[in-house]
Amino acid sequence: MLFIAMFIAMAIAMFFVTLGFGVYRITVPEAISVFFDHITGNVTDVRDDYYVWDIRTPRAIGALIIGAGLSVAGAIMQNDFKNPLADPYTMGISSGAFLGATLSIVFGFSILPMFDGINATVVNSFILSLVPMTIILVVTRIRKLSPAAMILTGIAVMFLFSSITQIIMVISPSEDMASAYEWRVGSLSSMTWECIPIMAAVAAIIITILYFLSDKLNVMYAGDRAVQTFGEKADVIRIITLILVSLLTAAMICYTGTIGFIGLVGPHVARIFVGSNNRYLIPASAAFGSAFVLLADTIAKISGTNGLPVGVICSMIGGPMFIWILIRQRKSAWM
Amino acid sequence: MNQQTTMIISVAVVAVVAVAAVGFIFLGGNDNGNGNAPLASQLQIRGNANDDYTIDSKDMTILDDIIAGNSKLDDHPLADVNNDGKVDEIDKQLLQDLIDRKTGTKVYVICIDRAGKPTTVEATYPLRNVVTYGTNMQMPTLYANGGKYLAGYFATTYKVAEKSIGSSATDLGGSSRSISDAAWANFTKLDADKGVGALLVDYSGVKEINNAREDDLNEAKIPLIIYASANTEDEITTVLTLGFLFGGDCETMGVNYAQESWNVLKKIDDKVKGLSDADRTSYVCCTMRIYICQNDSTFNTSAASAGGIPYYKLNKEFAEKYNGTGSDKMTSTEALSNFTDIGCIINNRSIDWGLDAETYKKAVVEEWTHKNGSIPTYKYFEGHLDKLVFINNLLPGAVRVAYMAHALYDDKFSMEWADGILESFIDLNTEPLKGQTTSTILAYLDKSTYENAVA
Amino acid sequence: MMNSESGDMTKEQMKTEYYRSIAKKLALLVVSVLGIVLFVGLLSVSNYEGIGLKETYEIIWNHICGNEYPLKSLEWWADRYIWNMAMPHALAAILAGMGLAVCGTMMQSMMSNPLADPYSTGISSGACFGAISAIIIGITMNSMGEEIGIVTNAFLGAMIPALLIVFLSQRIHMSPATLILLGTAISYFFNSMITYMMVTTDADTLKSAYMWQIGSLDGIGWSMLPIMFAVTATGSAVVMMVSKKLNVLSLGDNSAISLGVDVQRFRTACLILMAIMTAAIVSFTGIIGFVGLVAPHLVRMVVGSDNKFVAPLSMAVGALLLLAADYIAFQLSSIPVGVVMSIIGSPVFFALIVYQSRRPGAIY
Repeated sequence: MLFIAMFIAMAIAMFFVTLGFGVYRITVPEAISVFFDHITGNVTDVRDDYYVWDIRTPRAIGALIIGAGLSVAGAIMQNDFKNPLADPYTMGISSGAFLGATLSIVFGFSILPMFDGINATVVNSFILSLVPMTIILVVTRIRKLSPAAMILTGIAVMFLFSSITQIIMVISPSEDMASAYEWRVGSLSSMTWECIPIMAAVAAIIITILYFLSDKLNVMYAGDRAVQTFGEKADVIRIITLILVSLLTAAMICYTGTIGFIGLVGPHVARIFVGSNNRYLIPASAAFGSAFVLLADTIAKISGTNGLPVGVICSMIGGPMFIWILIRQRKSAWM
Repeated sequence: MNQQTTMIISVAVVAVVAVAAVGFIFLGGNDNGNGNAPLASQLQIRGNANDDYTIDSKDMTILDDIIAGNSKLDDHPLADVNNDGKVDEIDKQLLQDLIDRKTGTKVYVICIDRAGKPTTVEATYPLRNVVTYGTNMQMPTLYANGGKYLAGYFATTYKVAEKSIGSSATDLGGSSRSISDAAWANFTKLDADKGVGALLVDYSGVKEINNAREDDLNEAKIPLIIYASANTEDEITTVLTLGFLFGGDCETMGVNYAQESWNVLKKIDDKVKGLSDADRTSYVCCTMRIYICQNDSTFNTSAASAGGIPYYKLNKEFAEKYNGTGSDKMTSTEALSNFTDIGCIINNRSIDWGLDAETYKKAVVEEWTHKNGSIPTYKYFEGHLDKLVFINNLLPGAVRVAYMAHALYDDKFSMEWADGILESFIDLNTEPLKGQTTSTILAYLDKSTYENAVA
Repeated sequence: MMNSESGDMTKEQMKTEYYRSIAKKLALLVVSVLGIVLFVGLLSVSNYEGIGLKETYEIIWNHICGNEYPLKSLEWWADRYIWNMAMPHALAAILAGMGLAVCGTMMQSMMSNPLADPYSTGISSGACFGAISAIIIGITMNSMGEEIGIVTNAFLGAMIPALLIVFLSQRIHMSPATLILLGTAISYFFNSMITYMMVTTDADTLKSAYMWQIGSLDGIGWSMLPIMFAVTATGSAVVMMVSKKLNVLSLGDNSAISLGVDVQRFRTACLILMAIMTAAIVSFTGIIGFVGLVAPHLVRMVVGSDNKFVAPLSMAVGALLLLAADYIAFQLSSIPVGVVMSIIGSPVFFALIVYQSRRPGAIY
């Protein structure tokens, strides 16, 4: 519990720190006072208020939600597959989402034609990100896949989708391709107040449900023998949680692009401090994930000419982190 | 010995081209008595010994002088018509044929090579069956009314603006950014079928002509003419030179186009040349909506012709951030937030014309609110919205400069004046603009245009 | 797989069975070789009307005999096109297909993993890193101009993961699973740096870097072929010589050790060989995926899993596969061959996984 409180404190601290970073010059204390000025309703400087409240605050809240959502998703995936290297994208969600985003970025195509612009990207990527999951579930029903085989199927589905995306990428003009690539890397720069309500609602509801399932998840994690006594229900829980995780992940990344490694790093660090009991692991992952993304986004905002996508920073932290996990877990194998 | 002379001459040619690129060398002996600006673009053809805008008997006089020893080749490098390092009877004969505009004459065109260095390329007058690559080459070709002489093209992007490309011209199946091997095979097939007179390439696309393809061109003796014509003054030279090479009405068009263009530049220069740097309006150029042009990009040089001062000269922080010749995408809506004192933001956009009232309105709204990823364009310019203008990059360079001048100094150059410039280019009867009016072309748009369109 | 049910066959039946399997192998070889010849012609024939398949072979023959055509005639261009573009294209496709397929065969046996391919140890990401740093930052390891710079960089980049793995395998025990995980880790590491370079560059450079990554045979010239040829030929010969040992290794480490194979050393040697072959190919072509994965499987489906036959036949099938993909890519104009390969390969991969899961353990 102490660690969870510590992670939450870290996340809150990072939330306020990140308000002071960006291209627009304002110090951290100033930014925080502008933030509270807005809440109390006495805006002094309109420009300061615009950049802190309209641009940076939704971005910070977005980072908070994404961090929590993807970390919890990662924790559940690692639990479901008993694989320390699983993450929210293991089932191919990212490739489906990317195809959806590319379709709208390059062709302006919208799966549900009543939406356009940003909405098309969001809607397309949300809908298509659920397709790989559906395929895997269908195959699982027909073939009775083991968790390991499910991961492999996920990779195969990912290849299927990315080969289609590749065609679109190579025939698109450079600028569209660059936008699509940037979407794939993942960035928080498009966070606006409009995105927040849906993201927050989905994240809150699903994380809560998962939290209440944590006892069952613990039993599943305990291993094969426990599952046997647990009976067929293990598969049911696995499928339910997988669907929840997919919805959660899809709802996050459709706004930001497929930011990588959060779902891998978040739960791992949390696990080091609080252990594998999901009752503690889920809140700890959420809190640590938030702090991590806020930190990464702060670094992203101050690097490059006018900021880098947060996904780059995440992958630069997460890549070596992955290797570290690997060395720690050398005995366990992927397949 | 011979090699040395060639070297001296090429150095001289470099100097001439460099001076031409800098522009505004007002030549003496201007024979237009009707208030026209001197044509500061020289025709980039060997034989144009006096560095003016055409090839005529005056050039022959210089050749005679050089042969008689009264004048030096070094002073008139273009007097060496066949680029062999000396001036002799052969040059005179060639020049006479050019003066007579004799079909089948060898003509030596000065352009740049793949490395960007000045070079001379041999072609046949008049130029026929050309193939163009790159919008910045295709538009000048069409402005010179050369559309009918196009045998093929690698891509067309703008249906209306490029409609004068003859229907017999072959689509070789490349894209605006690349020439695939298959497209190149189509090109060679076209040469086998019709014989390609020249391949005209814009320098920005020169990477697509690799060693193997250059070998093909050399072996098949297809001239490769490369120009860097993104810059307004270079664009004028390109239209003038291409017009001459196509001959006939194209030559007239080239000269008229250049004349009209220089008139505009002169008019602007007259009004702004007295301004001190402090009085000039500063500008930042953008392209592709949210890419900031770096300090030495061609967009910045073009806007300089409109009398503005590039913002990087005033702001050290900006200068350091945007150092280079390309463009840098704004990855955050805060990108311009610290540069509150920018005088004007010129956003270069290529928008096809032939619009009716409805599509015009739509295009205006689209430019202003286009979603980049998920953020509308104007969001990136928060705090600068009064200073933001979009200018249509497909228009003739001088028209663009006129609108830029309006954006920078609307007290000196009214919107009506800039529209008038566009109308005068439409009246030239240059093919891309045929049948258009100021209301079918979205040439210029700013905040008020957008607000009117929405209202 | 066809021999598996040979419980109590008569001598006669075994004999027919034997001949049938020989016939199958021969048939596959003949089909592949004929296919290759056909596609070389087809690749050369495309886009020149009036120059059909027959004329194409004629032009090739005439060129060999030294006959010339009038300048700028259709035949002249066709001849030039065939010899400067189509032939290097076709030969590169054949060499790359052969090399990658044989490397794939070796990897799959060596790792006892049907889903391994030449890129499983992270070679591709290293090559990408090298090439992309040349394309984007312009850092090259030699001064001979951009094209060569990219090639050398890609080669050197590909050597980094290879050397790392060889170095580590001296120190710690490397099971196939560890090797693949290590490969994944290495590619994550390189990918993060590639991503950084890609997002900080301009759109056009990003696109050319991306295109390199996908893999394309455009721009391949004669000058690049000797190296590819030498490496592929030597490498394939070596693989065929050790095919028996590979058979043993594919039974698993323990069985191999009990059969007297020095597993560690043999695997390291194979990895070095494969790294050099793959690197020599991808540094010219970019990362063409799936050839190394799919070709050996197609062969095993027909002839079973004896590497003595799988290795050479995979080479033939790999060459045919890549050549056919290149032909399709060429017909589609601006689509690079890598994309076509992944369109063909990914459903096969999907099928493999689903098929495999029904009978866990072995695919065949």
